Amino acid sequence: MSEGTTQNKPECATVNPQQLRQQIGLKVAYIAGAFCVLIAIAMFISHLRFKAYYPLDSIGLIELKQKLVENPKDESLKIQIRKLDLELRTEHERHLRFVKTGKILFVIGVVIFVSSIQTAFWRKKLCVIKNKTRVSSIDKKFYQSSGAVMLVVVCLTSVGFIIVKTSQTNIPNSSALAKASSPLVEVLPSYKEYLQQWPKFRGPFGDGTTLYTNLPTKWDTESGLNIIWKTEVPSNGFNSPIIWNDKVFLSAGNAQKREVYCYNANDGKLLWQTAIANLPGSPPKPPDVPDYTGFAAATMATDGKRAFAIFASYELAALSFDGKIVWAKYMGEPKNPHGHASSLLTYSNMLILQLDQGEVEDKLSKLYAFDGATGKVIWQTQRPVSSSWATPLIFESGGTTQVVTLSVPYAISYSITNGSELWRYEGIGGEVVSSPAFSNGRLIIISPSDKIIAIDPQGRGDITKTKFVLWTSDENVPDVTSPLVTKNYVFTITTMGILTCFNASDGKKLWDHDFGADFHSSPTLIGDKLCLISQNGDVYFVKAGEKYEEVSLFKMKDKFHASPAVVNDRLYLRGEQYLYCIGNKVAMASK
Amino acid sequence: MNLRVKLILLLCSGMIFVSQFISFGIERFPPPDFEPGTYTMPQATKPLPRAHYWEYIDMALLLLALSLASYFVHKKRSRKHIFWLALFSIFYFGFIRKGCVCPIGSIQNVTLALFNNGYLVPFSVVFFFLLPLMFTLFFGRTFCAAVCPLGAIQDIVVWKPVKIKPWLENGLRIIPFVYLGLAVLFAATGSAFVICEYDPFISFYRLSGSVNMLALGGIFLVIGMFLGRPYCRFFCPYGAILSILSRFSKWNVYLTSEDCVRCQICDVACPYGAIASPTPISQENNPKISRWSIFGVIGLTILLTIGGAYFGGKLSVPFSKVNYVVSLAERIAGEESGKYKGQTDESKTFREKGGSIEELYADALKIRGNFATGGAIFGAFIGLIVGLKLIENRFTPQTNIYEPDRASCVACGRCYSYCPREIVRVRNLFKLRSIKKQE
Amino acid sequence: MTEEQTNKTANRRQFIRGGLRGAALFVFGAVTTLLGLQSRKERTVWQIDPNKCIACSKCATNCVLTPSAVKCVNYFPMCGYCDLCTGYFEPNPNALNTGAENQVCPVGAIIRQALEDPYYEYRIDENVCIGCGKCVVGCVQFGNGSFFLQVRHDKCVNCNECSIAKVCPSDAFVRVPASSPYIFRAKENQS
Repeated sequence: MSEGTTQNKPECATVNPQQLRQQIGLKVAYIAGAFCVLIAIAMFISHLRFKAYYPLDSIGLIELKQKLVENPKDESLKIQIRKLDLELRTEHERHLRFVKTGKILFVIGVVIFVSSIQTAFWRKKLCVIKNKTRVSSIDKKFYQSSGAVMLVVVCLTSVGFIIVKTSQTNIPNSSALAKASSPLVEVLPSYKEYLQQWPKFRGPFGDGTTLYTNLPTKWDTESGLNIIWKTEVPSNGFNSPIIWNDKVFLSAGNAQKREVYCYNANDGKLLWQTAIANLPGSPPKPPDVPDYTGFAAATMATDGKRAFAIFASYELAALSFDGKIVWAKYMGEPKNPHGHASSLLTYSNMLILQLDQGEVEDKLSKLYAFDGATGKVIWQTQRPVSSSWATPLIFESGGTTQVVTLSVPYAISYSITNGSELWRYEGIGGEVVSSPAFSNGRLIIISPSDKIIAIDPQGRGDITKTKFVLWTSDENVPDVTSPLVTKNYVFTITTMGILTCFNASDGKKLWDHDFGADFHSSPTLIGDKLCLISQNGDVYFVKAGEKYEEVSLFKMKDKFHASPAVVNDRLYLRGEQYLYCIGNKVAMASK
Repeated sequence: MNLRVKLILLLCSGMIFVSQFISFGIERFPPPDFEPGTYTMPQATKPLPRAHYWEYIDMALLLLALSLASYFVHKKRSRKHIFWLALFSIFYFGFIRKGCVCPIGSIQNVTLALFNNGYLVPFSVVFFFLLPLMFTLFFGRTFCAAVCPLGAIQDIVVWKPVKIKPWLENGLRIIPFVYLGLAVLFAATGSAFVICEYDPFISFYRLSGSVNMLALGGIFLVIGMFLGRPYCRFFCPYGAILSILSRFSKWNVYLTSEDCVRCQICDVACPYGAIASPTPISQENNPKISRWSIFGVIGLTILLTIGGAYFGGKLSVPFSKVNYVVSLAERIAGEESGKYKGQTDESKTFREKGGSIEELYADALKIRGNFATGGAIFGAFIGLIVGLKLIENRFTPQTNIYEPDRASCVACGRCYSYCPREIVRVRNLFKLRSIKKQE
Repeated sequence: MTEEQTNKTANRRQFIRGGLRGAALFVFGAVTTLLGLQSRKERTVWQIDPNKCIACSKCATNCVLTPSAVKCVNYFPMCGYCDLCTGYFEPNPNALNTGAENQVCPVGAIIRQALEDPYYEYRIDENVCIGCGKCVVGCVQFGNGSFFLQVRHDKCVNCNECSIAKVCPSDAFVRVPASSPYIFRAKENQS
C-alpha cells in the first residue's frame, strides 16, 4: 500500500454545471442565513423591550393607581390610567403577534437556507489531499487515544472536585439532631407547630385559649359518651397535662419520690415514667410541703424536643421524649411557705422559671431563663418580691416579646431576650396564685380578692400611676383561678363559683352567675364557649358573650384541680383518679 | 350598596389574609337562583388533549420509520432515500409531535418507573425506549441516521464540517456516558429530567421557549454547520447506549464488497469522523504495543472503577440540591439558623401549610443518602466505561482497509455514496440488469 | 495471518457478538416485562390541583409557551355573581365599573356583564388570559373561590418535565390521566 508519497496533486475535479449549482446555492444560502439572523435579532430586541412593558410590572401604572387612591375623585387620573393601560395591552398584543409572524418567517428562512445548502453541496466533489495521510502506527494511536481519554477524565474529575469543595449544606445531620447538644446546630420546631400543641400551662398562648374548636360540649364517663380513653394517673399532683403531638406529659410526687409520666395521646397507654432523684446538691429528704399544694403543683412545659418539670423540692429536670434525663438541676433549699407552684414556660430555645421565695428583703426571688437543650442559664434576674404561686405569661406587644410576672408587691414585665425590666406595677397584695392573661393589647392581672387590673404593656418604667393602667375593678375578684380574656370580654371565676363577665375595654361588669360549686381550675375558651370544671366534677359550657347563656351542664365522677388541655380536637382532663381524653367520637369513626 | 357589597368591603377593609383559606373554596356568598329560562349558565370548557389513538399512530410510525431507515441504509444503500426519510422525521417527530416524548428522554421515564413505584410509565414511552434499541441490536445506528429528530436536523445543516483529530474524538466520547449516568441518577432519585432541560433542539421544534433554550438550540445548529452532529457525538446519552449496542449488531454499515484501494474519499466524505483508518500490520519497523500495557490497562480499569465509586459518593451534597425536597430543606435550615434573611415563596408556603421541619430534614437526608449510593454507582460506572475504552483502544484489531467504526457510525450513507469502488460496482450492476432486461 | 486464522478470528468474533446480542435481548425482555406489568395504557398530562395552588403567578412566566398554557377558569356553579367581584375588582375599588383603574386583571381578560340586578356574569377570555392568578387570589380570599388556574390542554404541549411544575412553590402540579385531565374544585364532585 502506498504511504502517500507518489501523488502530491489534490484530486479535485471541477465540472461546470456542478460549480454553477454550488455558486447559486451558496448565494441563496447566504441571503437566507442573513435573513434568519436578522429575524432572530429583531425578535430578541422585541423580547427585551417587551420585558420592560410586561403588564404585570408596569411601574407607571402602579404609581398612577396609588395617586388615584389618594385622590379618588380625580377624573383626569382615571382617564390617564385607562389610556396607559390600553397602551400597555396593545403593546403586549402587538409583541405577541410580531413574535408569531417572526417565528413563521424564521422557519421559512431556515428551510430555504437548508435546502439551498443541500442543493449546493449535494454529491459535491471532494478534495482528497493524499499526502495528508491519517494512517499512523498502532502504538502511537493507542497512546494518543488513551492520553486523550485520561485527559478528559482529569478535566471531569477536577470539575467535580471544585463542585464538591464549593458546596456546603445547612441541614443538620441526624447525629447532631440526636445529640441535641449545641443550640446552634439544633433546630427546634417552628412557632407554627408550637401553636398547634398544648406545650405549657393554659396552652400555647398561656391564657387558656386554643386554635381547636371541634370539641363536644357533652361527655359522660359512665356511658363512655365522647370519652376516647381514660387511664389511671397518680393522684399526688395538681399539675395540668401538657401535650406534644402524640405524647401527654404530667408529673406527680410526694416526699418519697418525684416522677414524670408520659402517656400515648391516642390510646392512653403509659409509655414511660422516670424518677427524678439524687440530683447533685439535693438533700436526702426533701422539705415538708403542705398537702394542699403537693410536690407537683407546677405544670410541666415542653419545647418539642424535651419535657421540663419542676417539683416543690426545687428539683428541675429536662427529659427527652423517650424518658431519659437530659439534664437536671437542684435549685437550692426552697423557702416557700406553701410550696412551689409556678409552672414552667418555654419560648423558642428557652425555659423560663419564676422562682419566688422568702420575703422581699431576703432577695431570694429570681426569674431564670435556661437553655432548654443544656440547662445553662441564659439570663437570670433578681426580683424585689416575696413568694408567689402564679405562673408568668409570655406575650408580644408592640414588637417586643415580654414575660410578665405577678408577685407581691409588684407585677413586673421583662424582655424575654435578656431579662431586662420593661415596666412594673405596684399594688399587688395577698397570696398571688392567679396568673395573668393577655389579649388584644390588654394585659389582665389580678391582685387576689382585691382587684382586677387591665394594663397596656407598652409603658416603660413604673406605670402604677400612668395612663397605661387602663382600668381596675374590684368586683368578684378571684384568688386562685386565672382570668380568661378575649377581644371584648374578661371572664373570671371565683373559688366560690361566681363567673363574672367584664367589658374588656372599660372593666364594667356585664353579668355574673353563681354556679354554687367550688372551682380551682381556670376557664378555657373553646371556639365561642367557656369550659369550666368545678372541683366536684361539674362541667359547665357557657357562651362567652354579652349575657349568660348556658350551653351544657353535666357531672363527672372525679375531682378536678387541674385545667384542661385542648389539642387536635381532643380535650385532656386530669382528675384525681384518671386522665381523660375527650373528643367527638363520631368524628373519630369517620377517619 | 346592597348587603353583599357591604360585606365584601368589610372583609376587604379588614384585610384578613388567612393564607390557609387560599386552598379551599369557601362559599361565602351563595350562588344566585336564577329563574329557569332567563339565564343559561355557561358550561366550563374542558378541551381535551390529543386523542388516545394518536399514541398508536406514533408507535406505528416509529416502527415504520425504523424499518424504512434500516432498509435504506443496508439494502437500498441510497443517501437520497435516507435524506428524505430524515426530512420526514424532522417534520413529523419534530414539528408535529414537538419532539416530545423522544427516545432520548424516555431513558428518564423508564429509570423513574424502575426506581419509583408511584410513577407508572405509559406503554408508548417504553415502546419508544426499546424499539430503537432492538433495531440497533440488529441493524446498527439506523435510528440516528434518519429517525431521531435531533439527529436528523443536525444532519441536514452540515455545511463545511471540520475534522477532529481521532485521538481527541476518542477522548471526548466519554462525555455522553457521563451525561447518561447523570440523567439516570437524577431521574432515579426523582429530582429532575436533565435531558429534557438541556435538550437544545426542542425549543426549535416547539418554536417557543425561554431565551436560554432558544439560544442553546441556535448555538448547536450553527456549530452543527461546521462540526457535524455535535450533540450526537459528544452529548447524546441515548447515543451512548446505542454505541455500545451497535458494536455487536448483526449487520453493520459496510462500504463496499470490493477491495478497498485506500483512496480515503470515504474518510473525507464522512462529516463525523466515523471512518476508522487502517492500522498497519506490524512489521519490523512498526513497533507493537507492549504486553505490559495489558496489565496496565486492566489495572487502571479496576483503579478507576473504585476511585469513581469513592468520588461519586462525595458528590451527594451538591447533586442532591437539584432535588426539590432537599433544596427546600436547605432553604428552611438556612432561615432557621439565621443564614438567610427573609423567605422565598417555597419556604413561606411550606411554613404556612404547617409542615414539620424535622420531617422535612429527615426526608432530605434520606434523599441525600440515595444520592450517595447512586453517586457511587455513577462514579463506578464512569470509571468502568473509561477502563473499557482503554481496553478497547489496546485491543483494536489491526486492519489495512478503511471501514466505518461500528460504534460511532450513524449510518448517514454518505460514505458509500462516495466510495469509487462502490459506484463502479453499482454502475456495473445496473448495466448488467439493463442488459438482462433487454434479453 | 493465514486465511484459516483470519476465518477463525472472524468466527470467534461473530460468536462473541452473537452472545452479547443474546444477553442484550434478555435484558430488554426483562425490562419490558418489569415495566409492562406496571405500566398504564394511557399517558398522563399535567394539571394544577386547585386545592394546593397559591396563585403565585409563576405559571405566567415559566411556561415554555408564550402566552402560558395555564389559564384561569371561572367555575360558574360556585360563582356568586356578585356586584363587587373580588376577583375582578381591586381591593377597595374606586368605582364598580369596568374602568381599567378598578380591575385587578393586568390584561383585561375578564368580561363583566350585567344580568338581572344585582347579579353580574364574569367570563374569562382565554385568548387574552396569561395565567398570572391575580384574580384567583382575590376570589379565594374574599369570594367563593370559583376562579382557579388550570392547564388548558388545547394549548399545553405536555412536556416530559413541566417547567412550571419544577418551580411551583406549593407542588400543585400533578400528573392526571389524559382522559380526565381537569381537576375542578370540590363542588363539582358533590353534584
